[in-house]
Amino acid sequence: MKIVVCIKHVPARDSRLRIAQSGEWIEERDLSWEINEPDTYALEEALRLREKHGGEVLAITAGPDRAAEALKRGLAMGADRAIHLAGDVFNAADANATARGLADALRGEAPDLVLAGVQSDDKGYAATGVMLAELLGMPHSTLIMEVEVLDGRVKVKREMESGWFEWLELPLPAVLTIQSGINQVRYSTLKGIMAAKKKDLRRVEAPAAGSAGTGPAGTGPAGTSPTALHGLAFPSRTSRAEIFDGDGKAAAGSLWERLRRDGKLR
Amino acid sequence: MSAEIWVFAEERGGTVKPTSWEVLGVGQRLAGELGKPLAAVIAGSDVGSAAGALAAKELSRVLALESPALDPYTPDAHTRAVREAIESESPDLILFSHTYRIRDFVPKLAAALDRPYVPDCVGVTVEDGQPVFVRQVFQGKIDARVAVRGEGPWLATLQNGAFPAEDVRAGAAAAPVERRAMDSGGAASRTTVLEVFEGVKDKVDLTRAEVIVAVGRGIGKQENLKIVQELADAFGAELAASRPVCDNEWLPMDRQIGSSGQTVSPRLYIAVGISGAIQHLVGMKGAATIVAINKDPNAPIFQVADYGIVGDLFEVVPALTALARAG
Amino acid sequence: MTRSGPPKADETPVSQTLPEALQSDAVVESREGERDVPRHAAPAGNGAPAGVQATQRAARRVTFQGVDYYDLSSLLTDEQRMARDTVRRFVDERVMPVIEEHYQAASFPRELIEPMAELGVFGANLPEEYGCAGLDNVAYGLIMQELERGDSGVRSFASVQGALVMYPIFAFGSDEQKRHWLPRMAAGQAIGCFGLTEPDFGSNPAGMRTVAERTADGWRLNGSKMWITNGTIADVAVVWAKTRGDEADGAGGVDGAGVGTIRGFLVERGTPGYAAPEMHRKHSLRASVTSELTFDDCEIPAANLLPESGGLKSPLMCLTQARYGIAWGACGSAMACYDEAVRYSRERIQFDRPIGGFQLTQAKLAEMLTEVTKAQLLAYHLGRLKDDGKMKPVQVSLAKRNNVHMAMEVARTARTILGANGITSEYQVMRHMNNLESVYTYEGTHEIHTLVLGQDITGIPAYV
Repeated sequence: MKIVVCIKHVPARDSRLRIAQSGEWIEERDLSWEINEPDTYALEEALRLREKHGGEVLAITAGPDRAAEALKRGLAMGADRAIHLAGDVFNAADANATARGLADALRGEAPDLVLAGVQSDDKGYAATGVMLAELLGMPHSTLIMEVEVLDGRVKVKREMESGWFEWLELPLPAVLTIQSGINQVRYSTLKGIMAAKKKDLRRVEAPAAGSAGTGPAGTGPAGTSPTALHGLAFPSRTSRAEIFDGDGKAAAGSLWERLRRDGKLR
Repeated sequence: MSAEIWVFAEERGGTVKPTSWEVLGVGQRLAGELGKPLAAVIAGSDVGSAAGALAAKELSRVLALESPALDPYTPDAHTRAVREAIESESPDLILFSHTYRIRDFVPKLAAALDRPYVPDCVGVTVEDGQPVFVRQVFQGKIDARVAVRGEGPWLATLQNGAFPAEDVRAGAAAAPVERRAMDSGGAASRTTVLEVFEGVKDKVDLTRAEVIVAVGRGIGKQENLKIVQELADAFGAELAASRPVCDNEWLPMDRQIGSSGQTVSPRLYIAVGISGAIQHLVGMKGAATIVAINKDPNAPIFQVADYGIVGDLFEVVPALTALARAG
Repeated sequence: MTRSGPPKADETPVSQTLPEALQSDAVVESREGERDVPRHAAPAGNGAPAGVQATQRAARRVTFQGVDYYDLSSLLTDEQRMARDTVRRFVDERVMPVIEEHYQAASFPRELIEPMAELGVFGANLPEEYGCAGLDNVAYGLIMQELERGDSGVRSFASVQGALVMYPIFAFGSDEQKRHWLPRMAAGQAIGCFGLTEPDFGSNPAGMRTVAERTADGWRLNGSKMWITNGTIADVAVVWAKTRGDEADGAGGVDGAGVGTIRGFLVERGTPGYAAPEMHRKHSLRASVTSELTFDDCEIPAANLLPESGGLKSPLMCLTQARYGIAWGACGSAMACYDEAVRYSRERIQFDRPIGGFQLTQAKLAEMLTEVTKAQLLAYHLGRLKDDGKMKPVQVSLAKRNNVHMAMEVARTARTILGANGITSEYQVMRHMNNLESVYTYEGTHEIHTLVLGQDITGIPAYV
């Protein structure tokens, strides 16, 4: 079977971010980048399905030049080949614009299964995978905890709210977004890193913003998004809690006295 | 009459979900500021009682989309029903809560309609006669405003717990409920629901606890739980935890507080080594009094706490235990 | 002693058996608002609620972020960066959770051998045809840096396996020896050790007394070696000995008894006459096996001679390989200590403010960062020279000498920032500090490298 995994290149977790002058994005200089962590679970799941059922794992990303690194990391982990839908436009793209780009790039691939992480660590729309399903005309499910490929169908366990789950069955081809933590993501081995250099990483240019053609309906030229971020700012944190100081013992003493005085102890 | 603002409400077992009231409160405010009528929309196989509850609020109407195909939930059937309603009624703006179900089908709906989708908003204001959204990016590290291009309807989801449900105003008279039988003769849903089940049976009922001592990953390792158990015992409290602690199997899953665990509102809640991720906060912020002990003064838990100690839990907790034992 | 520092809990990877995301808030939970009444929800100026602007996943695993003040990352190739990151993650997830216990128990973490082999750490810069990764030398150096960020003992294990055993087999071995040993050693199925130093000949290996006497069908070894990393657990030892009775030997050796040149031999575990008892009660490199090797009429077949070895320069070539890794490894130790000191100085409160706010602490941190950065650039450029085939052994001496000394100073300064907590097993600094005492002395002492440089500068040897 052919499995496509959508991955995104995002700043490493714990990065100290700065906001770009424009206020529309972050300052990208001096950042380290990694595969969006939720996507690594999707990639791991794809590799496991390939090991079980055979076939091919194709990694795809949409992003500026730097994003090719995410694909190299994916190839080093074990993906067979990769497509880089390249364009600076994807920094400003919303889920809709990204999903449209990915759908166009994937149309010729006829995958059996498309996997994506549950959401991205940067913009966090939690929507691209679902939109991609609609654009590719495939059924989908989200927050998947278990995947079982059957003959022409896939049986999945989906996480619901408040500790509930459901088992679903969908016909293939289908799109699934994978819940983080469902597997132990493998290391890319040093040999895998060297082997990745020889694998096929195809670059496809995305249409530049403002070029001919049309983007999502009513939103202007291709490459523009129906929604755009601006006015990025660090939130001001406010605390209304009464804080007790001193070393552990003294603070505990003050807290205890206060709880007693305020009648919180009964 | 200008186009409506819709609030898409969800129900479970005939009861409107609390998050839907949060969204309805925002809808009422925006309807006032934009001068547009507000409708509540609800979809399911039989949503009469939920529709009735919604109709008691200040609204121009309630639209109940009903079809046997809507139960059990599938994204195909929900998308089809809501899309049909949108295309026939042409609302301007549709607000949803950012629940698992909404995240499962509304992006599909937005892509099918090819309309702007602004998920997980923590703020909505009106500027120059247009709604302006605020959402968090980079895992909550940065707030961003969202500029929306193109015609309505715009679809937006609101972060759960980010808006007060008590803001919802009751209506002077019951709003009319329009029950709409949706066409279920279309293509069947491609998804088959085989089974719906609860992860843990016979769980500890934390919702009845008067006092809860909850522990987070600041405890470091399972062996350290002992001091927190002792604190709980000294306070006569139930021991609970945030998700990472239960995921690590340091405590059983049924001790978990938060969105994927239990929701509690005890008289006193003592959070030990819990940073206060939103998923945890939604499960405990109903507590009457919240005490937080954490070494990070910027931990979000202090935003909901009444009393706090910024310090080393390994010093504070034993000291507090000793005081509680002494009475 | 009372616990007076900030809790260490968040800095310790919490579990081995669970997926890493489950150890953090990284799992995307339902954000169901199941409460009717949020406590704080008044819209703020920008429309965002004042209360719950919570970081969605504020708490998560604390991973080592590296120390890269001069953006060395941007000079690396994608492969080099990936190699670094994959080993960094391995150290976070597999080494850090167990290393302190092993150090305290004075045991080598043998459970790490297999996963390190799976990763491809051993002989990572040797060719793929022998089952190795075929990485360049900068990538190899970065791997050593990351391993030593965990512990010098773990890095030492990999250095010995790769640079001191696989390398001489690769450089001086027969085809058969290469085909037999290299894939097994890359896969961690065979462990190696390197026997050069003797009880009485450390800085002066030319004086070694171990002898290999030609026999009818092989060699008979007599003598002993000391301070041999991995000795007791090794399946094969590369042993350096002076030949006697070889056709190639001259008549007038040091003792006039026909002693020839120094050559390398492979001695397999279990060979009669060969023993490798472990040395105990060390204060340094406690998570590493250090042994004595003894050869008492130990007979080995002729095929166990490394055919291309000859003269003291053969083992010295191996040491150049290993020292190259040490120059990088020392950066790793220093990065770990600096990182811990920075973290601590932000959290530790004295006189009502973080100690990082005091000038004395800042001066220490500035000095540490400066030295770490210089050492990293030195190691990186040395790697480029090595990859270009231009690296000279004296340049390796300079880098080993500087970087290990730097790391010791950084570790000691970090310890002072951590105060009394710095001596406890809750923190890493003292483990690194103690380890570095060995690193300072092994593979050419600091002092000998000083003399190597002195001779290279002046042309005048000053060893005796």
